[in-house]
Amino acid sequence: MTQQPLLEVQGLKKYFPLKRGLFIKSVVGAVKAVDDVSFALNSGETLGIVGESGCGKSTIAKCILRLIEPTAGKVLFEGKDICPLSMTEMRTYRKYMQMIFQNPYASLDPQMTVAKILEEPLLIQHFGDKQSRRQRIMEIIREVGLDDTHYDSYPHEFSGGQRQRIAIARALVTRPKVIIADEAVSALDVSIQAQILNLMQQLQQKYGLTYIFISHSLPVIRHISTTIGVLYLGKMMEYAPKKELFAHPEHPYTQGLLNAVPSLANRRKKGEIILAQDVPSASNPPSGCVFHTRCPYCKDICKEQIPELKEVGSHHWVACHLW
Amino acid sequence: MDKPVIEIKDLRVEFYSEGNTIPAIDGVGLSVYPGETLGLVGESGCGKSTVALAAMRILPRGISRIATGEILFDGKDLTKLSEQAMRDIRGNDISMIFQDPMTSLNPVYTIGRQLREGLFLHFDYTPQEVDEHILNMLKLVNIPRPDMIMKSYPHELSGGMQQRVMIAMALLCDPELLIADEPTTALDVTVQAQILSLMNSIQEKRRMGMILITHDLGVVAQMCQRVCVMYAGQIVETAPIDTILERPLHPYTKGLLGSMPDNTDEGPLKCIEGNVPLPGSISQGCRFADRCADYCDACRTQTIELAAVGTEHHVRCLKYEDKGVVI
Repeated sequence: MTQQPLLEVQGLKKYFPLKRGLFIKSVVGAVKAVDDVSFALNSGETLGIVGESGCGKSTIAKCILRLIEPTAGKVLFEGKDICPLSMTEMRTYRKYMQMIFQNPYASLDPQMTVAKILEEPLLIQHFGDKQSRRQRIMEIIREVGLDDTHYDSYPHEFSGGQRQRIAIARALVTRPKVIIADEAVSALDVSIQAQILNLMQQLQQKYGLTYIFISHSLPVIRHISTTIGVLYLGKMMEYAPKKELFAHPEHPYTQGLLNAVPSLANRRKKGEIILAQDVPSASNPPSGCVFHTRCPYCKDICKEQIPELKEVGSHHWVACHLW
Repeated sequence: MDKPVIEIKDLRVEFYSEGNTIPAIDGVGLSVYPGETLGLVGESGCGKSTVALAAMRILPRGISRIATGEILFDGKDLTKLSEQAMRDIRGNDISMIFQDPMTSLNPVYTIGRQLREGLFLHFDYTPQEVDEHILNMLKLVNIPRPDMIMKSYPHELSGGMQQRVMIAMALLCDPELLIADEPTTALDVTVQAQILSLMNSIQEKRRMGMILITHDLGVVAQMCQRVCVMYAGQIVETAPIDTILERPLHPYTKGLLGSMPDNTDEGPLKCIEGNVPLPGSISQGCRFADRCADYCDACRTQTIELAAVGTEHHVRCLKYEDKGVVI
């Protein structure tokens, strides 16, 4: 494929320093929240990033938008590396990349009306005059399934699902190309979650949006993504198109994860748990392959050498010594 | 068939707020048999936790009360027991596991001390016997190095370990009924799978009854024999798990199953439009009518009873009311 990817992440690393001492702080180590993660995303695709808590899913999202500075690596938007840009220059790019957060009760300012919440991004991006801003807001409110009467309402007047619609409207109001949704439906009830997922898919088709969808829920990721990356302790374990990943999960962690999800279809498969123990601490990750402490197929080499991501099938990448 | 461990009949719990009386649950009836897991499913605010709190008689004092109904346990009506008598039952015959192990364990006491409390309260064991009992229990819930764990504080354990401690605590007095309120919601999927299989195996060994409260139909499918689906304070459908998954009748159950992004690789989800009504906002008719795709005028006015439509299958829907016997 010669087409230039819309968004490309190369060797992204984010290390958080571990400090000791009350007044004189000395750095004693680092938490490798994200360690050498790469992926590319074409326009109109949805990348699903899935993993357990503490695996670095949200850190990746924040690094792409530079809400926190990555330690190393490149984030290429339409071929341009946005990491060295100044904050003022970055603003232009944030117009094209927006984020939806997990908790719609915390991400909306309770003192601002819906109109103000939606106008803020437009003001920052110097979008038109007052009249055209108002028009754009009205347009987007209807687009996400709310109506004109909500224009002057405050967030507390809405239910969780409606608030998440406002959060989506806020992300979309600047006509972005990429939307990063960080656990956007995790706080919602199943029936509301389904509404929001449907809405996001409609909007994607209508505007050709590209999503990075971050979630701990495999069913949600499976439903919405075209490509899926499985993260474990800051490392990409497996990266493949959705159908390929679910048909042939190659990494032992992916297999364990798929087995662990209580699903409606294949139930009563008792005693099939492969993964014992908890996720090890990110401040003191295991040597070699970070997964070796829980892996049922662990060999000697796994404890010493870090496995590289290898292409094992068409567009199917696995980081495992078994391959 | 065995006698049910617990039988709840026509339970109504009211909350008071600014002079208003709001029914949190209304006419809930269910029973659990020994060795059986009953799933209580529904979205937030449907009253599933309130059922559990009422059964344990730990409803928030001063703002709520059991208005009508009976909770029959071991030949006694729990709603009429004195606080003193209730104490003997709580934690001893009926135990509960809560959602968030982090907040249910006391951070300033060691695990050992918190585990001993229940045993000292309900039995005349010597300290040695108590510790022996606790160590065995910790081994049963697959906690490595149990003697070390007894000396540690809750913050030193991971979420999965904390929940294991909570399960051990709930099982220490060998209860006849275990109420688990979203026991795995705060845990990661791989840990959730560990905890669920642990609960399954312990229950098989002890033949206790279990009420599993959850919003996750996947967990219910994995764990339960029978399911009660709750909506806005009422049970809208109850049936064996296979029936619920294969032939659901109530439009809400159908919608809930359709909303699950499970195996649906393509296409939009069959979601339910609208939002859950506020508690107490619907006084007559079907509480689901506003969101139902298939309602008629009678749905809004008529009182709809839970009607039997098959063996152990009951539905609260006008479409099926005349087809079955009203119970």
